[in-house]
Amino acid sequence: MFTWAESMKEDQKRELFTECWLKAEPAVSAYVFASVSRFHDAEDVVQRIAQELARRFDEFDFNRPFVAWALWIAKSRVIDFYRAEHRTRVVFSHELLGQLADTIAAQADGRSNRREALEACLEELPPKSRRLLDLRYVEELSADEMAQETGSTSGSVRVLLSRVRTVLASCIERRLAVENA
Amino acid sequence: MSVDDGFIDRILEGAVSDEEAVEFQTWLKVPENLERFALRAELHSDLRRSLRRRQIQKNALDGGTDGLVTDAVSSREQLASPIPRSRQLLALTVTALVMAACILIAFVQPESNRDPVPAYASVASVASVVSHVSGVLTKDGSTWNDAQLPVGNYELKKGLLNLQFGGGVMVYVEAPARFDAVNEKRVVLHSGRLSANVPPQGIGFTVETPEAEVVDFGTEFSVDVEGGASEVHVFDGLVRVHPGASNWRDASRSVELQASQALRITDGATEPEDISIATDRFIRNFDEPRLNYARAVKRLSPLAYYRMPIRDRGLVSEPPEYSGVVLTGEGKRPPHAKGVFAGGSLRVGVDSSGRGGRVDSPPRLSTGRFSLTAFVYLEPPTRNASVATNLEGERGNFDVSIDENAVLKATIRSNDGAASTIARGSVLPQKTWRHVVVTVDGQYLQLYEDGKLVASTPCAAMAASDSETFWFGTDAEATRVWDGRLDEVALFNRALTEEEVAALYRTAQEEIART
Repeated sequence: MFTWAESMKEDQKRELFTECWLKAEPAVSAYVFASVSRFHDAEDVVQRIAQELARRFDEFDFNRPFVAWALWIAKSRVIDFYRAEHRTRVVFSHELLGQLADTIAAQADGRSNRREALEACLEELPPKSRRLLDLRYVEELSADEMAQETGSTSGSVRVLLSRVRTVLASCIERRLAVENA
Repeated sequence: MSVDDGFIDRILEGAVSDEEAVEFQTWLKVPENLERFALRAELHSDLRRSLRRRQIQKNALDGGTDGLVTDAVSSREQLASPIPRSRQLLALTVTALVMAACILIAFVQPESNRDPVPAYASVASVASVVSHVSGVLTKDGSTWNDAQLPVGNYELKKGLLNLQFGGGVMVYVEAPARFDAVNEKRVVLHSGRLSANVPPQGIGFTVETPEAEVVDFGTEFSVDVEGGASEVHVFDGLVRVHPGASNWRDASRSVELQASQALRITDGATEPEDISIATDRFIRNFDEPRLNYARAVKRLSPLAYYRMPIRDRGLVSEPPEYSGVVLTGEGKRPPHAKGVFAGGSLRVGVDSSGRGGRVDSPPRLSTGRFSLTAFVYLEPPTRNASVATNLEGERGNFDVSIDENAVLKATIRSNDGAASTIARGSVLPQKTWRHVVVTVDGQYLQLYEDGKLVASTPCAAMAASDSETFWFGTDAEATRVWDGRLDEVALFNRALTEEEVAALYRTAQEEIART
């Protein structure tokens, strides 16, 4: 089968791939973060997906959306991860992984706006909330470790973190509503 | 169940019970719930990315030395305005990706050799590394990368290791194993599996275990130490076994073992016990020898032939463009085992890290005719497991597997969209190699076991498949995972005849007798 990608030079192909991947990456990351819980595991899986997409780029049918194809490959790599990792607690059924991919593909439209809004919303957060997020997302502390660090309990750390996230989610929604108004 | 943001966050962090996780999946069946969950996951993913990036940029501005980001952020103005910053990030990601792509291209080049081992100069060594397959070796707890092994305590944590001791003695160690290299002619095996091939110059090479001492007289033998017992299996020549711990050995109680004999010495037991030789257990070399069976397969012009050699380059195919990857997870032993002949096989499940094989760029199957030949070795209590398949939902056209009763079956999707299944009447035997062939000639779907036609059913020409991923020992959804080994898998775009199948099996039998 002859595809358009085959007629391109390698560097053109690479450039095109990079462009496609940059657009699809937020969706793929969201998908993997939804189905794989630890940051490092999720990031490893995303990396593997990127590698596979690059390697199989020739197979990509340009009449289809790249995100859908990327999420289709992502689903298989998430299943591979479940296969390798017996201890993972949350293991989604294959049907659900498929539906999740469809949902995330459908949410693609506002994604870059949501990312931009998040950047602005982070600036508005009180320093204490920011610190909490940093402990979790940058220093990668668990709720237990954060509780020790902040002289609290893991339960209340989780509650606080969730509240901060919900504050951010509402802030993003508000900003987008203003933009679209 | 009541699901709030806090609960969704706990799901995303994996901090829920199994029951909660199952219930949550029911909750997700409602589309609005799934949308809400997907958005929350997106927030997690974006937060991780954004906050990490901010930290890296902050470090760089604070005079940090992270060279990767100093290029991306050159001034405070950029940090103050989010738009240029995201462009910079874009540039950074592009660079990283292009690098990744370059690495990737280098990575996918077919490679036929094993890892070269750096030959550093070192202190007086008692053994040297000839080759290894994904080997991780430690000496006194630290990683050992030198090709020379001085006296010391070693642990092979992962993979396979081929060492050469004095007099040309070749030793093959399989992870996990702990051993001491004592001198050029002596190794102490505390736990694990080891095989030795001893040429005449190496006679007297000794393997000591907690339960015995094994002295070699020019031969090929294997030792397995586990759970307070040592086993010695002799494949060729002669070895002398002195039972007992090192300070309790009595020369008068020594036992001589000859080819095809095996012995178990249990800690505390007075007499060693005769056992049957385990020809399938030990990896006795890393090479895939030139065999008559392989020649016979190649004469039949397969589309792709997977000999399952012991390599860390993935699932090697002839021709190489159809090579794939060996899937691995947690597990004690390497994803390879002794094959049906002298070489290796793909080990899946049981106590290994093997999870099967995957071929992302398989050959097209478009003639409507098809054959698959393979050797399968099943360990109990496997049920519902795949030998080889490319079926996934509506895609793909073949599937060879065992059903819930361990009965071998084959399913073919035909041109007309119908699926035909054929099954053998009896259960697949366990812990023994079985030659399996499936053929589709446009009229019949046929199944052979050990060279004999065992089932046949009418079946239209096979539907064409293009780039559907092939899976060996597993399937696309990882729900039907093999427990055991697979070897010598070949695919053809024509139906092999009954005579060809019988001849292949005869060649295999001769090969087994010879090796």
